[in-house]
Amino acid sequence: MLGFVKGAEFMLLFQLFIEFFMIGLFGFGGGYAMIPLIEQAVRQHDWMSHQQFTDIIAIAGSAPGPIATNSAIFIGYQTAGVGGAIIAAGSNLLPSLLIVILLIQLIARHAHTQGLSYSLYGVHPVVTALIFYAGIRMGIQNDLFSKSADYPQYLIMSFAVILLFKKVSPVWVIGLSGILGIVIYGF
Amino acid sequence: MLLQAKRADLFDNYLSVLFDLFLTFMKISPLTFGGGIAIIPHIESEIVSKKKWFSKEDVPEVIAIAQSAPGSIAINSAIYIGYMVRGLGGALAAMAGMLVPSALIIFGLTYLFLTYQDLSFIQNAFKGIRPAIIGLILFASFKIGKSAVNDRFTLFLFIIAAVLLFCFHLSPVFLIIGGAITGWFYHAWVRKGS
Repeated sequence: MLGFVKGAEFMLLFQLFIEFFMIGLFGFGGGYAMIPLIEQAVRQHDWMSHQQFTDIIAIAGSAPGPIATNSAIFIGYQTAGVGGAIIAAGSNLLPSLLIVILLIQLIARHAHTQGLSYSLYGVHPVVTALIFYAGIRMGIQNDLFSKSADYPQYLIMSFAVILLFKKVSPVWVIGLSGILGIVIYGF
Repeated sequence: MLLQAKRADLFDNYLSVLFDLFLTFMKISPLTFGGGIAIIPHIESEIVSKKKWFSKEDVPEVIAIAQSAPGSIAINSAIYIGYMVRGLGGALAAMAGMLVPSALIIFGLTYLFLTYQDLSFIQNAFKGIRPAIIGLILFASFKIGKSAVNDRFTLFLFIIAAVLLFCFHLSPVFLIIGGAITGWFYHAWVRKGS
């Protein structure tokens, strides 16, 4: 019995390691580029509900530090405790460490790195589509783009987008929309 | 004997530089909400002006590599600078410095959230926050798109990727690899043509 529990726990940690390593490896285009990858992993393994995932992005986005690492810590902690948080964050960062050092070495040896920027030229539009798709998906899952949505939700979303265009920091946008939520839906 | 003392001295020096890197990035870390390109001005003031580890001319190189590698730009910059200053140990020290403050804060927030998420006013606050997060993510795609989708080829790629996602729910990793191969071949072909 004990051996079984241990095995299941090990499997979970192993899953976290593999998933967050892949997320780190393919997260081209900065922190937000990893959100679609994280969303897919969470969905595939059924680690948490859609709403909870959105809440995690909210918390990860209102703390300092990269949104992907913050989500990794939260998701790792939620699924497998402190060990899970360390494994998820560490495996998420490992590809960055390896690839940055590899690039430094390649450039120091005057290797031809032009191919990388050619490839990234094709990757970035795809990442744009991925983030857009993740936003729409998460909107549907949170009953935002559906018939049951109420108009204050659209109001808050438009308000948030306007503030972001005005270069207000996301932390303030999240805080203000939380206050709006309390004002609209009650204490 | 003398050599040994010198070696110990060098090691002390090595450790003190690592510690210095750790502290410097720990100071920058809480300033970088979102972890993105916002870190660059802080790098300039701390690393270039105060510590003089880098010259101003090196900063674009830092940005270029931090953006080319996968992962957050802030972490990648820390890895790059740490590695240039003191090798692998330096990279790890700088990265740890970036991570410690935000990890502590996120642990605190996670604890608070898991403890108080059932309170009605917290639930209502999150009812308000969720649409804002959708707005935040759509805005992020717009912001990345503004520099990524800038000609007919990239617009074509964006549309193809969006259609494949919305109609066939293809895996993100598969699409990213597809985009990389297409981008590479397109450039190779255009260069050959010109």
